[in-house]
Amino acid sequence: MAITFEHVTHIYQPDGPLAYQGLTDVNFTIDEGSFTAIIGQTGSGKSTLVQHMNALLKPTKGIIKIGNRTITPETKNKHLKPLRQKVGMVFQFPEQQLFAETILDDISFGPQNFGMDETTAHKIALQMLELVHLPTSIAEKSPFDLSGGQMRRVAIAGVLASQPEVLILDEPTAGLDPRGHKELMDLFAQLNQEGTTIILISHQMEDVAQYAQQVLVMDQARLVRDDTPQVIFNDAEFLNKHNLLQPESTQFARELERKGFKFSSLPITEEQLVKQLLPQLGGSHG
Amino acid sequence: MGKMIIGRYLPGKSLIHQLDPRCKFIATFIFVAIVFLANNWQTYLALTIFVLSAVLLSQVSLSFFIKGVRPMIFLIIFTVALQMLFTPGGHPFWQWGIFSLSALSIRNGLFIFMRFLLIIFISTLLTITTTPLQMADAVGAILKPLKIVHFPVEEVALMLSIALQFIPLLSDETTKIMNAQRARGVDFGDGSILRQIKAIIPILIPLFVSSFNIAYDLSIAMESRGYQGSENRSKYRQLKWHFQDSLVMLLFIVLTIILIILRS
Repeated sequence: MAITFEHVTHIYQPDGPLAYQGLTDVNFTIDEGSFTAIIGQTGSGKSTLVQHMNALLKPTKGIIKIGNRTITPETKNKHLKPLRQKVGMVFQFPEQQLFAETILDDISFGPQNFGMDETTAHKIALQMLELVHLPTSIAEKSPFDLSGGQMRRVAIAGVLASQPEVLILDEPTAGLDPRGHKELMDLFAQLNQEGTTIILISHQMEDVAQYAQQVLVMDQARLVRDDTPQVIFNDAEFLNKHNLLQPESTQFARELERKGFKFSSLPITEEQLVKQLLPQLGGSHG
Repeated sequence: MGKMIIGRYLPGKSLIHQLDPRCKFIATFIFVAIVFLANNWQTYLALTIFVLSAVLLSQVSLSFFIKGVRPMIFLIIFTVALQMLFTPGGHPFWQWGIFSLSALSIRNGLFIFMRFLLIIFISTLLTITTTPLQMADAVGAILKPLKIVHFPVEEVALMLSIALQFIPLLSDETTKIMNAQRARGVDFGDGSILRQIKAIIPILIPLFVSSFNIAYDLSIAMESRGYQGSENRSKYRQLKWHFQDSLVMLLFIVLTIILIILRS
């Protein structure tokens, strides 16, 4: 499902003394099947932005098109369920949303809410456990017996179980160890290859550089840039202005440039860095 | 959540903001007590003028206070209506079964309405101009005399200040968990009562679990920073009683005397 924002503005607690602007005139399009990253400082409006994509928040002004649905300020809260099934959302620290007695019940909670019968839901739940690299033998355990990282996986499995077409991830790997981090990121990349549209909020520029095709940069409730990671991460001045960093590979390449190395455009991933360095060092693949 | 005005602090620098929280606390209590002294229109007028000038001094817009009344308006109207319909005595100019309406009962109803309004205004004024921490300090200080009867004043004050500080955190967390469950297809406030109660479970359990976790982490953090109970601790936030605080107390004595003179 493609997502389009047209002049979307969101104001929290409008017409009160505590009103504040969450989003200001945001315009962009996310194509079906793409991998989009949203970056920006804490409090720049990233989370507000993604909560519009499954109508948890509705625009104060403007129009949002998600697939063939249109969300306007007048949209009623009823009949949003089908939308929420198609747009899955993994919140920050999703392990906090676990509640059921068994892991199996918790994972199948979403699908059952969307009308799936228990047997099918349980079957899917078991598949999802495997998908997030957890043994199916733990299915009957309580989710509260698990470690933090495992709880995170169960929570993510619970969102994936509804088989969403769009998956929104709000810092899904925050606080995980490097291995868990990589496993999860690879899982999201795999889902993306299989056709799921992925929208990722992240502070890890390495992930953004490696996985995203499109990057939205938010600053002070505004969308300040919508481009490919290659272009954005090459613009050091722009990143600096919005308090963002280049990926480590790019920073490293910049240092090398100062020492006389030449890059056609600065590499943003390790792979690209190696590719451009090898000929200059006189080496070859192997 | 966003609608509740009572219990929310609005930062400001007005005269009322700068008063000692103990003074504000005691003053609010005195006010709630002396509201019941009023029994005719002169006394209510005096109280209203007093409250309105206090509101004016706080530099918070009046509309904010009126909004604070809104969530309770049904309770107030219900009580006032009951009072009006069931007050016996006076010459009824409308009667239907046990219900009657007379000049006396209307007057009574209006007074009760005013009483509600004044109490809500003054307590909103207290919470709007006092930070939760100041409030906890004030309660701790006011309860201090109870130490004589071995009441654990410091512990209560500590619990209060922790509880108050965690209210916004837990409320954020509630919103977050609600949103997360909504994204998983839960409808809140929809369907039969039984379904609605069932829909609360996926919020309540995570909320309890995270409260346990917070309590555990907090207690460990407190211990590792040398907290050994409330004995022999010094205080970082010292409350200071200024001249203006005494003045406020004096004002309340004057107000009480005026009320006693004016009441019939």
